[in-house]
Amino acid sequence: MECDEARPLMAAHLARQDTPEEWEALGHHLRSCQACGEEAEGLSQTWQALGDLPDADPPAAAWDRIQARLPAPQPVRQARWAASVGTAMLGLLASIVASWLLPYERAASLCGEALRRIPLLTALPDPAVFFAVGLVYGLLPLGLAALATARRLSDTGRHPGLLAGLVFGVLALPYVVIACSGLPAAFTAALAAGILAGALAAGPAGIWAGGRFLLPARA
Amino acid sequence: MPRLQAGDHEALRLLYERHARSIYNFARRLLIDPSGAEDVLQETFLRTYRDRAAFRPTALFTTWAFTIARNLCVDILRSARRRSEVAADPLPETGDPRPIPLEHLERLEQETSLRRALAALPTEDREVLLLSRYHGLKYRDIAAIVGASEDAVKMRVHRALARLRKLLAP
Repeated sequence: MECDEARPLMAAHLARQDTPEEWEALGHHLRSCQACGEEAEGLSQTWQALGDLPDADPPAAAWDRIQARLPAPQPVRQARWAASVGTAMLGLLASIVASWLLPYERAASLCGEALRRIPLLTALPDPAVFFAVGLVYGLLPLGLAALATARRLSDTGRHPGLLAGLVFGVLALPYVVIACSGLPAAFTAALAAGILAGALAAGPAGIWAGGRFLLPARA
Repeated sequence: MPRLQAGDHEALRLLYERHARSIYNFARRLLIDPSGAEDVLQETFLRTYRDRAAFRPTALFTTWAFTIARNLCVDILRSARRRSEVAADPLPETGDPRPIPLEHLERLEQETSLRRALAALPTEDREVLLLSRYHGLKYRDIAAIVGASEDAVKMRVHRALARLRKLLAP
């Protein structure tokens, strides 16, 4: 190692910014170069002397002056979950009403007929049809609810749409089980999974669409 | 920071309590002026609040705050050319009529010499030395704060320390 290479490493060592390999190479050089050895010693003393310069406390009123210049606090925001749960309840109500108007079994029959007309889906199993029906009963009601409440939801915490979707899916489960009590368990499970999947997609999508198309642009 | 990004003043106060002393002393030593340091301290936290949406969750608040403080200091130094006014703090008045003990006086003189020597360093050397010596920042973080390469920071810290050593030599 040359002296020019060694010098920056002296300060780096004092600042604990050197690697073990650099320290070893520097130590080897310092043992063989008296001038660099003396410089390293001098730099070390200067580094230590800098540590003797005391810190000062900021003026006691500094925070008060900062606070006085801050904009007025935002109105207290509703709890993060409140808007999401409200949206989920609204969506669930719409979904239940939809299931009264068009029961799941009837919807599955219509959906199955329509899907099986597509050449690639002629052998579509019944649980898959119920999953598709569930998607619709989750996606549309919660999507519309999220669209309607996009302003409130977007002012809450992170991922409010996903939270709304999850709450919707969990709350819908008992109703789906009761409404499908006469159906095979596989159909009920597929329907419930479809509703949950649809709801998880609908929440974020509704907020995005509401923010994109309904809410005014923020300054 | 996530709480601050939601507009919570209390979160700003917590950040202030944790970092104000560090930022204030950095500005004080870089500007060689306590009153300017308070302005920098206030403005740093006001800008932290104002620009909170731009803070990346993966970044360190320390690097963010020091970058703001450093840029404010550089602006002040550029506009006022304070470097030429080597304004080391005068010896503090104790308000005590009794004579200052010799040991205390020697220490104050040593501090004054250090401040004068620091003030004589070019700003770009002084800032990296302060960030490394007093705030224990890594060269990588210092490089991000001052907008230079890590190698440049390594050279500047050495250059600053070597120059300081010459200035303090008897």
